[in-house]
Amino acid sequence: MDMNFSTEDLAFRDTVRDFLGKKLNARLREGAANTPSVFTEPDITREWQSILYEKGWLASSWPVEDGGPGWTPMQKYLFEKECAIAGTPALPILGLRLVGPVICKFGTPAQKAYFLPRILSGEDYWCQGYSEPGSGSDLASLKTRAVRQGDKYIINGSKIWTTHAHHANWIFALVRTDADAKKQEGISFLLIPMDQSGISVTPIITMANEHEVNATFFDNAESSVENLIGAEGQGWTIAKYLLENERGGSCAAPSLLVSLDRLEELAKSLPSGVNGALIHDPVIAQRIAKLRLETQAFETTELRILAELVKGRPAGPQTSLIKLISSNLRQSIQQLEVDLFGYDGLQLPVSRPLYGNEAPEPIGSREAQLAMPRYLNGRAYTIFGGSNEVQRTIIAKQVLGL
Amino acid sequence: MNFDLDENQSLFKAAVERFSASTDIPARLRTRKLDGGFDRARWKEMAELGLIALAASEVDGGLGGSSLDCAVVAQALGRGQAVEPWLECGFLPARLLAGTSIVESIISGETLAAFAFAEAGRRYAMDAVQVRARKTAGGYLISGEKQFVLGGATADLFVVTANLDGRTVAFVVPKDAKGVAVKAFPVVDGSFAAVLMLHDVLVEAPLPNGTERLDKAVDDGRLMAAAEMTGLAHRVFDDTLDYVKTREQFGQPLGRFQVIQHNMVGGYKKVELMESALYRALLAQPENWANEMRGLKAFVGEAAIAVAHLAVQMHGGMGTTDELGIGHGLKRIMLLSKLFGDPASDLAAFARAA
Repeated sequence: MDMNFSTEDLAFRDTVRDFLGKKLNARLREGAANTPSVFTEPDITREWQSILYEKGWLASSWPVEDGGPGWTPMQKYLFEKECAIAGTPALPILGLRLVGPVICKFGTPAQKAYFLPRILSGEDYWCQGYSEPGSGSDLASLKTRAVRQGDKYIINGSKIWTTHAHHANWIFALVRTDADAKKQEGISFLLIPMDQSGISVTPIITMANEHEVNATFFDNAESSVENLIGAEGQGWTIAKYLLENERGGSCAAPSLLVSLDRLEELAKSLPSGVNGALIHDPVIAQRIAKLRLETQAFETTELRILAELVKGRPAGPQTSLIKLISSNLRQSIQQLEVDLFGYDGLQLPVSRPLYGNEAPEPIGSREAQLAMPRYLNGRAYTIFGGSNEVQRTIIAKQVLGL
Repeated sequence: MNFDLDENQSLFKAAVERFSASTDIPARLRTRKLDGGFDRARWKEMAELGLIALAASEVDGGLGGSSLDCAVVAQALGRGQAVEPWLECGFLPARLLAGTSIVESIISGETLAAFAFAEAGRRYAMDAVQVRARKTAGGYLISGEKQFVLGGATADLFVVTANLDGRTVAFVVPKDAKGVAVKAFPVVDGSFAAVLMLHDVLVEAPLPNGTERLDKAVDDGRLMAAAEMTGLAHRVFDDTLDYVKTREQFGQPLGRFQVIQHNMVGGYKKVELMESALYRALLAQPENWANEMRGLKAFVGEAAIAVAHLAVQMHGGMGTTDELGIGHGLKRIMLLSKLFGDPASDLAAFARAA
């Protein structure tokens, strides 16, 4: 047993580190660090995307023939880890991580040739139409209909939690193409252009005062039959592939450890109000220590899964365990962060962004200003992508055999 | 033994319920968009119901409500998710300014007052260090900076703690006095607090019995924060209970799933204990009062945060939006749980004294 990376892996890591050191400019760094939401705004992600695009490092989960860099699971992990340490902006994952791999896997040659280059170049910006007002955890109960008429589908219904739908020009959606089939069997995976009169997007403001998600309404919206991925009725299988892809091969612990390091440094400088720096408060010191121990153990869990992937074994339902642990850790760290700042942690800015010249003036520090929106946004970690209740059920059934 | 409310308490509770019935989420969001996130007309309405007068003594023209009477109101305001800063700009000023002629205009809702006690870099410390006062011809000169003045964006006057010859005392500082600057900023419950900057402001003599006055008001303030949090937690729990009974997923109401049932029972347990802790503290003896209030606030603050987290989780995506009372409840609880100290600092103080 050993936990060491090979010489080749370390050489790869150094190449990545060197590249990030040169290319991650101050604007991108600030944009990434001062974004309290889960997604980063397109003005920041686009710039970072084009830098990685030029280098050919953009679509790490795509096959080489479709434009991926041809990395091993270990290299993908090391790249993610270095990005977390360097503090790179989040990429537009809806295109690159979700619909991209689906098109690579299930798309026709024509679909691949049209969509994939446009995802890579940033010409297309994607959003996701999965959940509906009546279908959250029970995704298969979705009702949005797509009825075939000649060479196009007519779409009616509504989708909710469509992140960045207000920026997107395409949406990939689960739609019901067969109303008579059983729940999962009537569902298809359809790509729909956003720029048409049959689609309207309504903002949903989060409790952190942010406009990140929307409700998207389809009123006789249209999409060509050429935009159907796979066959009619295959949507559920594709959706499952996508969700596993969303959770598989994870590298969540390094960014959690970066956050903990940052909070520990803060605790050394922030006041306790009674006895020097806050780190001398045993309650705070123990909270940090406890979170560090669990996060380190979690990092090792991710590495154990990675080692299996390297051997060619699938990650399987362990991805649910990763989601469960990382979301809870993330929330605990964010709550600690709010607590560290005392009264300054209670400010909640109304306007965005919190980087650049337009950012509202903070009280105390920019970091203090970010703590509360980050914490409030973070309550969604245990809800999106399959709530933690759903993850627990998956683990109970598929791992524990209950 | 009897835990029932008396007739007057029931009447006040009913008045608060009627008052807050109209505060739905759209009304709440509209209020927060007004100047300073505050609706003066509603404040006057609240005053006319006697809700502020309840906190003031009869000598000052108030109704002389007991701690229990006031806690009933605070709890009902929490339950009704009232947007008005009753605790910050009503209860606390009425107590802090007791015995002065200002109380009358506080009670009527004419004057809005805010309590300026926090200082930068001192976390939850209550003694004044940076803001200092010194005696001068014709009064006192006061200088320094106060942080996190709740209700400070719209206040007409401030009760400011200051260091005078090594002791912490309180001064009345009108907003329009020379040398006063106010910088407003938004806080988590949607209200606007302020940084208060004072530069050689000439003020009258400090309020008499400053230290005792401050201690007592802050102790009672902790009680009111705990009472409001109890009401808030109860509200978000009840809303969540309704939701899991009606929201259907997988062909049945969420509440039919055992995991949801057990989670909800966990929340119910917390709400019940919060209520009991509140009653117990209300019956505390004067000699233990200060410490009991810190213990209460530590217990209730932590439990209220947990109940609000549960409520968000059970609501799924909707719980994370600004469109339900759930998120508003969590945000107000976050603020109250840290007023005059957070659950950890309150617990530490309670443990030291016990």
